[in-house]
Amino acid sequence: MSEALVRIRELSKVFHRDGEEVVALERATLDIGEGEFLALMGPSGSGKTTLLNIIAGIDRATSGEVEIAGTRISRMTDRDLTHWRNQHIGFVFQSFNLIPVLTAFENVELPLLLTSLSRQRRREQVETALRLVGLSDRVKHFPRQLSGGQEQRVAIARAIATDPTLLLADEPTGDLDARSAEEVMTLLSRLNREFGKSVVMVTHDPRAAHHAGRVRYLDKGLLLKEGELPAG
Amino acid sequence: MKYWKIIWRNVTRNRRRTLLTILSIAFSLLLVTFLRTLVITLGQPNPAPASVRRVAVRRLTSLQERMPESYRQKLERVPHVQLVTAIDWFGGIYREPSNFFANFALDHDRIFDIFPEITLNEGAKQAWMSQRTAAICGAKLAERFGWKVGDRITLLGSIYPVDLDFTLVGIYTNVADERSFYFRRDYLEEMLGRPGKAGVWYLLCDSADSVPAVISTVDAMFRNTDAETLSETERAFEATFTQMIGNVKGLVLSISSVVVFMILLITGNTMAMNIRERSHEIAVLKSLGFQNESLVGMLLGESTIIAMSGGLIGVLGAKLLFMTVDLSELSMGFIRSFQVELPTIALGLTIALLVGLASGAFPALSVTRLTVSDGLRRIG
Repeated sequence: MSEALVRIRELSKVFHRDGEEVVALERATLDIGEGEFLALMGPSGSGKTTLLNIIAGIDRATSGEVEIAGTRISRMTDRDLTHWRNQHIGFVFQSFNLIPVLTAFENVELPLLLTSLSRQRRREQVETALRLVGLSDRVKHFPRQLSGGQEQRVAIARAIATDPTLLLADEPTGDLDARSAEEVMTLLSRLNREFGKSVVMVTHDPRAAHHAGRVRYLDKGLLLKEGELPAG
Repeated sequence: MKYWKIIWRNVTRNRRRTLLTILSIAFSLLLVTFLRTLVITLGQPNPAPASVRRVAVRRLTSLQERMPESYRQKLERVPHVQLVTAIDWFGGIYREPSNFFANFALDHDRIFDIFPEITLNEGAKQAWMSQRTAAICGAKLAERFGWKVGDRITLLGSIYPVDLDFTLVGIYTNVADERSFYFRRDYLEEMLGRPGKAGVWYLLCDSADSVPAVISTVDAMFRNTDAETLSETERAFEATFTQMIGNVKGLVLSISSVVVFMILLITGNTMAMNIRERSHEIAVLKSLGFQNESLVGMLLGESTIIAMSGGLIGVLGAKLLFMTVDLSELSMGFIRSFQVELPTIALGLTIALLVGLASGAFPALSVTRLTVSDGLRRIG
């Protein structure tokens, strides 16, 4: 698996709540190839979002290693990790998480503000990203003026604006109706197939998972073997 | 600045809250500006050049007790004293007590030498010298009551048991005060049956440097007499009237401190609410790669804009307000002139800046402790 973009080894996450230890993830080992579209599925509390957050560098593992594009993120400082996230990770949330006081254009521009790109170059990249998600005519709209599906497409445009190494999506269709969900999944598939984006998606929805090239299941913090389904 | 738009949008996000906070700061700083200007104004010396050469001599025991007329010759013989005049506060009432203004009896032949800042035309001076019932008043006092030269004015005695009728012979101008009424002391003496007493002696020294020596000599001269004196510079004498109100400076400092602390709490509360409501969004920004210092900078920028807006409205509002409202008129001349000066404006804006930074600092600190995963779990 030397060509793996993401290498996860013996990854565990233990939470401490009210004096109790809660094992959210136990010794997970996984490789994700460059240009792969992987869906992580499993019941609530199975540890799939925890795994995604650790891959994204927004949460820390208790033990184990995560290496992305040759960088061991589990050993980075918070500051370096934040900088790395801006350059390498595009994150799509279930509830879109757009900033309500900013327009679609400004929301997509946010991660680009942290780069050294000129204003003109930022504008070009934002316009490209919005064109790609089919929202060129909504640049000046605020999130409240958009439908749920459109909001999620703006969130995807924001996630791809910096041309990240890895696109991560946490239940991207969870708050959408069937039609909007299908549009969003088509868009993610297109980004994977046509633009070669590596995508890791957490989902409950089998129709969404159908768009992925590979599905891995988690159950009670354990990453199940390839092809294995949770009991029951 | 790349983040300016984000900062501005967050400032205007909750317009009512922002406006109310800005107005709270504005009114508080208007009050601070007013109080500071009041302290400065009350402490300001008479701007007339001759003021530094004048010494006021009064009874040590009380301002209400008078001194013998015989002191005049002794005072005139004190080295460095050029001129001496007696001044008596008449306290007369014009028609009704609410028409208060300062009215004094003084030596008619010395007034323009001891107080050269009182300027009057020659015709009026001649009338003043020749008519025993002559009176002069400041331009602003004449304007207040619509008086003109030749008017007959009666002052009812409130301290002395006599009512005095005057003929207004002139309207003076004066850099220090144009709200007083002066009349001849010989007229008062005559009406009182020549008691031979004076309320205050004003001495004009040959130079400002001689003033301390004159003060020492005069008080030493009358020590252990029936009417011991307290001599002071004119500035110190005028300050005693301010001190009668109490420790104005201390009072103003206390009120100002409370006001500043209050606006710090108000702005701090606003910022804390803003940040608490947006912790989810802040976590999103962190997930996108925003570092703590960028987020803290944006939050401090936000609180500083709010505080400085309030500061500008309050301080410049005070400047404009007191340019249009004549406090000298409202205080019946007690406050000579009320002008908000540049250092006071700078102080007000500095307070606003510090309040902005301090009120944003503590909530911003909580942002640095917020983890992305914790922030995303919170519903904003």
